[in-house]
Amino acid sequence: MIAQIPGGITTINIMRWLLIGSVGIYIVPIIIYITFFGRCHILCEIILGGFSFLFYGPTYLNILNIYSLCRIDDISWGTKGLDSGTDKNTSLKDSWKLIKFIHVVKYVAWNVILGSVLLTLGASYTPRFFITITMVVLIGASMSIKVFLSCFFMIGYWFTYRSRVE
Amino acid sequence: MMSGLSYFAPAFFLFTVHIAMDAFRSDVLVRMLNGVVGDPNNSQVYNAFVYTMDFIYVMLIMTIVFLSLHLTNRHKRFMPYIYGVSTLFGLFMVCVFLVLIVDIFRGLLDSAACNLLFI
Repeated sequence: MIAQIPGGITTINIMRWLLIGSVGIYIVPIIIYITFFGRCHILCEIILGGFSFLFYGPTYLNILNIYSLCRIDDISWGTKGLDSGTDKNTSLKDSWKLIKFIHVVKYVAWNVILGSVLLTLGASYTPRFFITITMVVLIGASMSIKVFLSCFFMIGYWFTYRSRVE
Repeated sequence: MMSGLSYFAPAFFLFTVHIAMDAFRSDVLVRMLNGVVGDPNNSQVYNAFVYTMDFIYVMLIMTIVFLSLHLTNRHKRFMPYIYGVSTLFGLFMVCVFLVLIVDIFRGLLDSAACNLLFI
């Protein structure tokens, strides 16, 4: 199966190292922090926090998103009289309910289509490889933005610190 | 970009669960039950495991959609279900993470060992 991939095992190993490197983006700052500030207990907190992040990730991404979309017409939190029983407000609430159902149906339909496409393409080896490249590129792009922003704020902090010292 | 990706989070999570269960099937189940089934790689029993996990995941998601449409968060039927599913998804995610990490390191240490995963 590996022979089907352009570049063979070399390309696959590069992909593996890229993944390890993307995890390393998180690990290197931790090591630098421990080295410079000598606080090892922070490592335990980060590991526990990482597992907590993993554990609650699907809840935040799936369950809360779905619930908020399905209750988008819920106006029980305060509406300045919109929940009163007049004809105008009743028709407004009906239109919100219709909009909600349209959005929920679109959400479910798009996810079913994408899930089916991913599972169908993922059944064979070469498309699975290119799906992985796409996902790694997306993750890499978001991480690059984080690194860029970190550098931006660090440089800004450095200049602020220098101006204060001078 | 991240909010756009979160819109498709259930589909991406389904794909990740599928890949991880596939890796678990080939790395653990096939080795563990090697003597029980003649040709484990082509056995429908092993393939059924992966698709059963996908089916369970899809049914849980669709039930969340159904209950969210019809019940509020304080309903006595909704609360235990949503807590249970949240815990189950968390365990799914931790399992997926561990399986993929083990498979990546096995692949880096011995390229021939990692013959199923796409990486």
